[in-house]
Amino acid sequence: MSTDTSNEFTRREARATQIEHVSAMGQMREIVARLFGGDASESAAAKADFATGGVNRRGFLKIGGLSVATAAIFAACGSDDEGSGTTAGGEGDEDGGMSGNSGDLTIVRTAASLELLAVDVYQKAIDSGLVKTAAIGDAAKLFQEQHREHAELFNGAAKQMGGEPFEKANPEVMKSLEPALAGLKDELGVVKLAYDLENIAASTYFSTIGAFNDAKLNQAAMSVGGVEARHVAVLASVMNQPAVPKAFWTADGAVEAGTGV
Amino acid sequence: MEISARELRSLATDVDAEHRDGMVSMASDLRELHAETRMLRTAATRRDLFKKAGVGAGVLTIGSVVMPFSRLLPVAAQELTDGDIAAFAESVELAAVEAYKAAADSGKLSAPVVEAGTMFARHHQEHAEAFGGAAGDKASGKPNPTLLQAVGGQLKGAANEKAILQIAYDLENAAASTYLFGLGALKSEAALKLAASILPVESQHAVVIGQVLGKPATDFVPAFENQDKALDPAKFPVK
Repeated sequence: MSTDTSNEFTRREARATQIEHVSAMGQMREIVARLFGGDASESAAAKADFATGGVNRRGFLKIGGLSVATAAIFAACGSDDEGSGTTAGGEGDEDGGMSGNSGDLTIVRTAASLELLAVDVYQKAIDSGLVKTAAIGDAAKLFQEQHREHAELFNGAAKQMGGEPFEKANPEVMKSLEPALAGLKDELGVVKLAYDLENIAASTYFSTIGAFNDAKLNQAAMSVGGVEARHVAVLASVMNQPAVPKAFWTADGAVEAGTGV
Repeated sequence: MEISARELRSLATDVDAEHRDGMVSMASDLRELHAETRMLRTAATRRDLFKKAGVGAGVLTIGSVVMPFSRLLPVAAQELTDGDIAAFAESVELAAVEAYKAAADSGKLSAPVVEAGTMFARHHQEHAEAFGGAAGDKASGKPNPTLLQAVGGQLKGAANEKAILQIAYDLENAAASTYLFGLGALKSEAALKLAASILPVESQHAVVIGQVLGKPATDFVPAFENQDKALDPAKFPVK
């Protein structure tokens, strides 16, 4: 065979490509089998549920990497406890949230306070000893660190506006969460609380859009809001709930600007 | 040898290109993370905002095709009206709908993945309808032709489910990135709200696909959304 490169080079490249392909396909087969095949005793509905949010928990962690936090099979999903969220304090529009005449400084300080609240809540969760699954613990630490960075962003904005940063967890929202925190009994409860909190955070950022006097802050808000929504999707899949249940985000459960700050 | 040396070299080159693409994205992702705080500096004009937010050029990779995109938007893009941007967004969403259909029709996807893709396609259809309404008489009602061609080509060449999912993953992240760009360009509160209501959903789509691909969480849950993968309306015209 006549080629413009040596046959040895070609054979080497082909071998390397084939090794990578087989490795990737093997892993992919394993992933798909574990995620979608699962135990024969699992119902078809449970298997199909992955695609809309469920995860085959039994083997996912074995895939490795800092992957989605899944765990041993939960006995049951937690109750739909609406009390774990919080609603707006003070005046606002009809679905709560940050809009109307709230100044930019108030909005960013409130945002920083909520991010630091999330940092504290994740720390309490980690310290509770209820999180037994390594991958869930890893996800909690990742999300906690990201919330810390979000707080830095908003406090940086506050300083640039000439205002005071807000450097602690939102006291009013934390107070409303205390019963839920005190009532945590197991890992599922921790995940559910985190899920509710992340939903509130994402909704709160959505509610700020269009309310800023400085339009550039719209991008800042959703650069964070999008990530909170990603947190929601991860946590939903841990609980075998739909990861993407709606086509449009809303301000449901958003925290009013000025709450607690 | 059953295939030509040229084909083997091409395959090896593709693998190398994919590696290099990943390294390019990593560098720009890190730059973006550190540049986020610079976004909030006072800018007298929208042009200043774009200049200050940009740190080097970003690239959009759909599959293994690298499409050049400058984060420093051309002047023309900055003059887009809300209607123009909504029409663009409509076309992107419709391209996504077609992409998921093509993926499902490829016969390479497992049933649960097809189901998820079908749901995501429905979301994109709803997004398209919302943007079409916002675009008014500027709406085309058609998928973005440039994007459709690029993604369609990649899907045809996708060898297996993993390759298809990677294309979808890139597309969803590009959509989220594009809406973040939109939030810097749109003017009316209604348009801003619409973009902001959709960005998180595209992000969540990316999470699900990233999970299936077995990516590390740091890949599908970055610290901040960014504009690195945003589609440039000038490079992806509506018609």
